[in-house]
Amino acid sequence: MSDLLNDITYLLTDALELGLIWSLLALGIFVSFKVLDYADMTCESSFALGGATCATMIINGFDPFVALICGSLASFLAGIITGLLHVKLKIPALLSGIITMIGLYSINLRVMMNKANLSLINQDTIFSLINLNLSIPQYGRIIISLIIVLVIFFVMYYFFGTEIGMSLRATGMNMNMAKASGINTSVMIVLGLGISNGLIGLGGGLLTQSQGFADINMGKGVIIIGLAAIIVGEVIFGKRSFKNRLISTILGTFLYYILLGIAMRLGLDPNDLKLLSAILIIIILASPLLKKQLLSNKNRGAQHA
Amino acid sequence: MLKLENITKIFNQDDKVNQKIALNNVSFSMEEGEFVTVIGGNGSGKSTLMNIISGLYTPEEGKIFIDNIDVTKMKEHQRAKFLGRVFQDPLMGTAFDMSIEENMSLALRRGKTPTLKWGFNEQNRQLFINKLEDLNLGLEKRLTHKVGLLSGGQRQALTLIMATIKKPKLLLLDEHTAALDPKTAKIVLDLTLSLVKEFNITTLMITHNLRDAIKYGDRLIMLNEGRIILDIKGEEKKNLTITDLLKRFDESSLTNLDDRLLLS
Repeated sequence: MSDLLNDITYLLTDALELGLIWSLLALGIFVSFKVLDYADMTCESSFALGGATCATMIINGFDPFVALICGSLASFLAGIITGLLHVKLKIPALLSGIITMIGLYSINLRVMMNKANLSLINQDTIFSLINLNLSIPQYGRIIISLIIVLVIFFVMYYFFGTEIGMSLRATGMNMNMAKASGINTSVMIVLGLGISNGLIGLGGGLLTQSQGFADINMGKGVIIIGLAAIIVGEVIFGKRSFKNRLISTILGTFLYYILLGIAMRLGLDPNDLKLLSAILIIIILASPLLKKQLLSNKNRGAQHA
Repeated sequence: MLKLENITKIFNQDDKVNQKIALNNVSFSMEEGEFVTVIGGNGSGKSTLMNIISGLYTPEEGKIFIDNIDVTKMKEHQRAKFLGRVFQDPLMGTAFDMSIEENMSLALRRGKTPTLKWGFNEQNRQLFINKLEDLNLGLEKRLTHKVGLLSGGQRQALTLIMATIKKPKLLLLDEHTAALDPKTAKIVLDLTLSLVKEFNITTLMITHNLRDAIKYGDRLIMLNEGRIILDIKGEEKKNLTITDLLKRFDESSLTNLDDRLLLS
């Protein structure tokens, strides 16, 4: 019995640690996909860019906090480039993100000094610098991540309630209305993609410091994780207001890692993870349609009876 | 107030086969406070006229002035500070996933550069309540409700309030009752009239309904094949009847009068 309890505790703490770190990515994807209604693929590389920048700077003796912020800024710029490709050169949204994503791969390698992997062993990270004197180091990582996520949550909540933030949301919801209200929608798209990727880069940097290495491929498939987290969050925790949607995204990431932990304990091959996440997204996205069809079939049955 | 000088708009200019001259050397001006109704068949250029004024399209030739300011090269969002707009599609004028007060706050700031200040304040809320109370739709009690929950008519009424909450130099109404049921259309049209009168707003209204075009406004223009073929104002407009109008159609050798226009 106590074994099971222990197991559940481990599962929950692991999910909490990963969920907090990855919720930054989910919040970033929330800004591009949900707020701006822009299918931005830049995230696949900007996540790694955040991690790569962070790792290289730490190795070269920079403060881990400065490195974290610079990683985020680098990814912010990547988002700006995607936005400019779209609004200035009129490249379709999806393609502009893919172009930046592909180009960034080379840049990420350069940033990582042409290595596919950078280890932070024996280097300071924000988690080693802030010593909370806890018997279990994982709890320390959770508390620090929690503080960062809370700060980001409050900043985002405030920002999207400001005049600029509201203009950004209006741009994503109804471009016609935004333009008719005098909002420069091009500026809003570029800014929004910058913010989105800045958050994603922050997530990449935090993961790098938490796991102790950066990898050139660390961003592969993150879009699926982010979308799955957002969708799971929306379904379970709702989307009544903007605040509610932010909270749902964070809790959704946590829930996603709980589900993942359970699946792993039931013997899921980690290599099948991306496929399963993709299938999960399909099921959730298709469920309203399926529900409707089931209902109409039922009604038809009733009529015939 | 509004002045169009020799406006020509051609679609697919480089494609000789599909080329379409939507506006052909149109010159037109409006006085301050004037209420002009615009009629015309499909493809007559009335929507293009609106979109040229609002900045969605740039003309191949000609100039546009609003209050003696040359706006020809201004982008859509830059012109927004002069214009209040209501579209045919009730979903187009509001942001569905934002509350009524958020939508109205955006409208109140039309044309101002947004800042990092919090998006609403108590003072504005009172203004919104006052404005919404005049509608008698009970929306004043639903300030925090999302606009997506409102009916088409309610959304269109809200869009009208939003378009006029900051008095526009020119109000553009693009068949804004066409997508509503007759009863709701009448309510929205009456609201339009009372707002235009109360604030003395210069208004350009496209309608597909001849009766409305005659009944409302103090001047009527008719477009056909990218030209203004009728321009009736003053006493003549007041005494205008549908029969007169149809007769005038014949005189102006109308080639492209669609059924919808005749039957409405």
